Amino acid sequence: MSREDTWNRLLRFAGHWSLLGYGLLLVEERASRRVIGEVGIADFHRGLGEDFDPWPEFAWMIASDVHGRGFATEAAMAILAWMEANFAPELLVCIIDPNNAPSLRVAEKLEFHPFGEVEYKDKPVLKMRRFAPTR
Amino acid sequence: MANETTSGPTLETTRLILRPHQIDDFEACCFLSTDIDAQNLIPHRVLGREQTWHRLLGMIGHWQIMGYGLLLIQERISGRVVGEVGYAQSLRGLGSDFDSWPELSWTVASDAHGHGYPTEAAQVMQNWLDENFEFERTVCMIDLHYAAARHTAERLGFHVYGRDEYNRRPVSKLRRIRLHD
Repeated sequence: MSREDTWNRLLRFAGHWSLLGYGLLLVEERASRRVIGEVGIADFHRGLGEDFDPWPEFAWMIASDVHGRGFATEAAMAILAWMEANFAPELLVCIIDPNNAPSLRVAEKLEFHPFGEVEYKDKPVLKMRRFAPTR
Repeated sequence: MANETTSGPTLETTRLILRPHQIDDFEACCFLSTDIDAQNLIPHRVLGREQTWHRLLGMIGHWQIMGYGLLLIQERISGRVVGEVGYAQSLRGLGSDFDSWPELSWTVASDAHGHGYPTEAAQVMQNWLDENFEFERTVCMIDLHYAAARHTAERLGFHVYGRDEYNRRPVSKLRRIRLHD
């Protein structure tokens, strides 16, 4: 991604919070104080169908040099709890590259289940969803 | 929720109202995105709904982070959104003589051309920036073949100072030096 695209992405994440009241956050590692990724929930208007687009989408990204330490799951749990406390969405969705086994494991740990496959930007992706836990 | 310092001011001219983007403006923005002739600048292509949504979010984020940005242009007589105008730090990669300064851009729907709306809207935006910030320079990028847009920029005090390519199109780089009284 170019500097221009990255800048535009940063701007829209800020805009998403102010427009919708939820969004993506940076993930900072406490020990190093380094930004190691992003996690959150967003409305991306991807055009992936009526069973996907209307729902808040969960997303995360962790720097490759700190993979394998469970940071994605740890960060995801925190934002999921925040989202449930503040918005109580009945359904969350996410898309995952079907060949990305580590991401699939994270999604399963978070109780997302696959419900379809679709093409997004010329790549096959797995559509997953997670129903709100029963209280 | 929003206030002037984070989402932008509302500015009025004889015929136009300039105001911050809101979520309900998404459809109007999608309509503008399909109007290729409205895109006096680059990229000269139709933007899809997803990209338009990203753009709308980015506009709002820019006001929050930089304190200035783009506003929607609403026509007073019809109440219709007819375009956008404002400044952005756009990091286009056109060199530090360009990327370091706030860039003026505007879009006016093709069926609202010929009324001088770009100049009217950009002028009030320029006054607002000059009153609220101390930038000694602002810049603007215009398609080399788009004479009407260059004339608008020149009326606003911009001068061509270089050429470059953006998205594989030749563009003129313009700048306006702020005059101190």
